[in-house]
Amino acid sequence: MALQLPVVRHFIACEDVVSDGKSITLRNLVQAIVPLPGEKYPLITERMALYAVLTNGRGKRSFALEMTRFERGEEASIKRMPAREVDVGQDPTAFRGLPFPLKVVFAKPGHYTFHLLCEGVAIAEETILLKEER
Amino acid sequence: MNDNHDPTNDSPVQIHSPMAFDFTEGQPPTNEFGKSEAELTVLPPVPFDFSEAVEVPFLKLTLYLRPEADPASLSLDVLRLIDALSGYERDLGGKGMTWDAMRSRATPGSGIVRLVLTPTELHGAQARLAKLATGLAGAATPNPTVPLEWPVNIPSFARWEATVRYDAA
Repeated sequence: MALQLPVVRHFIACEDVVSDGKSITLRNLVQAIVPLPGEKYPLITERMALYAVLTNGRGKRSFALEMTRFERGEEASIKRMPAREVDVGQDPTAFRGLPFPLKVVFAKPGHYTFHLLCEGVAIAEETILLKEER
Repeated sequence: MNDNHDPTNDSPVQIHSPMAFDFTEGQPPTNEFGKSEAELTVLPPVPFDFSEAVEVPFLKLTLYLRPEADPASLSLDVLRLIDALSGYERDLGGKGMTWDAMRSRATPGSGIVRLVLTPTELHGAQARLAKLATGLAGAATPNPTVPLEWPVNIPSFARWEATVRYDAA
């Protein structure tokens, strides 16, 4: 029988995920990143996160992220992170919030898509734009 | 959903006034619903440091279908081609190629299929994929200069193009 994968209800890029134990706040949703005057590529950021809300949790699953850079709509590079095991619980009706704090190197301007993989299968994606230097 | 005509527009999010819709047609509401709040459990953060990410070289194939290609044979021809490429990559010292479903696409009506294949074994993959791309370029001509043992019968495609992408930056 095929392994059941979590169902992704939301997958959002933001600056930070803040939890006080009762509620969750996604700080500054990220749609595009603009280099400050004088900043040059590669841009390196430690202030970024992806936040996933999952259901259909059925125990431990391996999660990985891939980042694809696009040039004129075509894939230009793929960067892959090794998988990490996460226990998403045994209640398939429960909602699980899963924050992924990121350190990212953006080599060049363009569109970047983050793919969330579970057991090697892409289950969600989020795209952001890195703008040209000013 | 509307097309986004300016995806580079990074204007801040603007919250519009609420738009209320009334589907009750004036009927009074029934009793309150029972509540079954779905609790959200926030799992411990799972950090990823992309400065340690592995660059994955990949082979991008653009296949141009013959106008008279038989749709029933097309899927088998694609599988034969992937199987042949994967086998040749293994002959070169790799561990085969995987069809990347999330990056491959076919535009309906265009007669063009774009396939992305990624290697299972990353060590030395860039050189192996470059040989594959060179071989494919030769095989796409009537008298291939690179004698690759492609499946002799892949009649669905008029021609194909192959490029290797690897971003060392």
